[in-house]
Amino acid sequence: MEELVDRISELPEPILHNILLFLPFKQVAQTCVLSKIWERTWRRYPVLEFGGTILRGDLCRPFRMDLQKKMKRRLNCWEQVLRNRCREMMSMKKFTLDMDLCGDPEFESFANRCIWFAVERDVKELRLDFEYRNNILFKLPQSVLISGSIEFLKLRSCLLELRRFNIQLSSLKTLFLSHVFLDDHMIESLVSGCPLLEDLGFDSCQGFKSLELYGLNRLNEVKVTNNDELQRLNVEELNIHFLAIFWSSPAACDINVASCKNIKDLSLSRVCMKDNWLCNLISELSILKFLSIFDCFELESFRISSPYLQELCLSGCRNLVEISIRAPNLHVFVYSGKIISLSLNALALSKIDLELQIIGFYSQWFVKCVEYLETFRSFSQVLYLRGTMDEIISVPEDLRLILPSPLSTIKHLNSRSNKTEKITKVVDDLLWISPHTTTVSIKSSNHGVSSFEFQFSYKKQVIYEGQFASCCKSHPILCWQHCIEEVKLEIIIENYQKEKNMQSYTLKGADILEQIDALSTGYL
Amino acid sequence: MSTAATADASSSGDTTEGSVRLLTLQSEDGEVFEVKETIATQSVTIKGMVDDDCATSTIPVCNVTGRTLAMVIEWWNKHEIGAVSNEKELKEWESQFDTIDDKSDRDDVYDLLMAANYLNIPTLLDCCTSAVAEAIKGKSTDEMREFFDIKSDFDEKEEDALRKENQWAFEN
Repeated sequence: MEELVDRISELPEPILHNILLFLPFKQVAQTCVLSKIWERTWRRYPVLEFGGTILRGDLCRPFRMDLQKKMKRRLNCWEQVLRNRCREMMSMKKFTLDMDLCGDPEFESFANRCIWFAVERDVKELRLDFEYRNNILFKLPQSVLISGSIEFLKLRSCLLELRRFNIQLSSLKTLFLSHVFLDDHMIESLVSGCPLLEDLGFDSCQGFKSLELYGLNRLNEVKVTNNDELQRLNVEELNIHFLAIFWSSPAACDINVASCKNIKDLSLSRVCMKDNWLCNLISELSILKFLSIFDCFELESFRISSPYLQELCLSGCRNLVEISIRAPNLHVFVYSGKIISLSLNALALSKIDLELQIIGFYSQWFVKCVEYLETFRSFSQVLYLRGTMDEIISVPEDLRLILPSPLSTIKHLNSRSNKTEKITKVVDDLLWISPHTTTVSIKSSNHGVSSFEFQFSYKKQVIYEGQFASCCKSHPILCWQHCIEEVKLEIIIENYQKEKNMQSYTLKGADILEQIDALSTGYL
Repeated sequence: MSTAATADASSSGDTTEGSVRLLTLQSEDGEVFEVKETIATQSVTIKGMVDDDCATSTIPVCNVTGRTLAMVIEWWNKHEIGAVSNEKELKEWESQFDTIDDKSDRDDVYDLLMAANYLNIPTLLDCCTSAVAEAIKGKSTDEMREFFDIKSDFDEKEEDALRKENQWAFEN
């Protein structure tokens, strides 16, 4: 009989630890019962992740005594795990604590013991993710702020205070603070005490009015989001590539970032800025590749001239009336909002994504819409087009007779529909805007998520009952219904478990439209 | 990238200009492989030897069979910069290591893991450890024992005590 050899258990411990790193922490803990080797591997595993859904939500409610009991039992177990780890002489790679402290002193003292152990064991990655409740913040032990081993630090709902020391995190590369309270003095200490910082994020933090970043030569990414008390942001770091500044509501803040000349990716949201300020900033950032601007209500009319810009996203700037873009390398243009006057000098543009706010169903609006779409006439391949609330942009019949179809180069057309219209009507609306498109993809938000993927082949010469159909006579381009040769249709249904089910059809013949409608009934 | 590789090799001195220096690797079972230095230095261990000028004669690769070493060299060749035109193609090629349902696949992955560990090849180590982890994911401890032929050396009492101690990991 062939001897079954257990080769996995013979792997060196560091390799087994590497394998375990890919598994959920609970499953890692389960492996300890497999055999003595695995038990030892578990005891020496340099990662601890305490957390889970039971520690959230209802836990703090007085009527959920059962949950709190369960939680206390679990804390006892973890306490044991921690004690076992203390017996092994090894350093820790990663420590995560993800729980609702409920203001319970027992929970807090457990958290403190965990942190003490992690810092003592030279942890490299420390995540403390506490629940923010009733303005109660966890007082972070000072030892964390003077750890020479921590490279990655993520804190949520903590209070940072210093009594005797200055912050000294000499190995820290990544720092994310969320719902953390720290004053201006702490911010200063942080900036001067983390010389190797590469990645920095402040989200919904409070306590400081001014953030000045300088002297951090390795700083690469900065995200400053929703810190609504912030009044002054000054960043003077030449090596920053990525900068995101978001406010949760429009607020006046003195922002000075123009000296970060190597920014490639810039996102601004709800920033109170005037047209001139933005233009000046963009002209300073000469290697900018990605620019996103959301909900900046003070912008009205501006001009962007940017030689390397590849992607531009403009959304929700409701007072915007006019923009002029000169960007020879622009590939992607995303716009959401009212129809504005757009002057576009972007020969490389290949993908456009438009969500247009339909204001009334007046002919005038559609005339403007068709004019707007014509701006993209000569240079796009992929178009994502929809109205607000996933309405299909349906140009009225009478206008179709007098206006030419605005687009001609689009190969792939994507849209969404939430209406119960016939699918052939939706396709007809889209293909009037961009005739002879090869593929049309329509996502429907009804009945779970289903999408319709069409692939069309067209006849080269069209003879419809011996002559052009009347609807095609007045147009330079024939309407799709009369030159369609074959349709490949895929209907994709996604159920609530996110499982996808696809059905494919190939349709031909004179009654193609009826066939499509017959297939799609019940889905839309 | 080939020009950079050439420049690299010629600077090391003991090759004629324009050609790439070859290293000789010998497996545990005596098989000999000649490998371009620029490729073999994907191994941190070999790179260290080259940097210290210790790679002039045959390099013995202990504990690695010729069969496994050939697989490692194939990995190096695919991961040489410029060898595969795009990331997607490389991922597709790597995906052959993803499933280890067959015992023979499993044996290959263990051999590769040992070799990657000895030669210190981070990319190969990552790929193989994640393949093993994928196979473990979602399996109960009994299923794991069966799949990997792990025999318990605990008696019933000991196992029960461990289960109790780590009860939190077994409940929802």
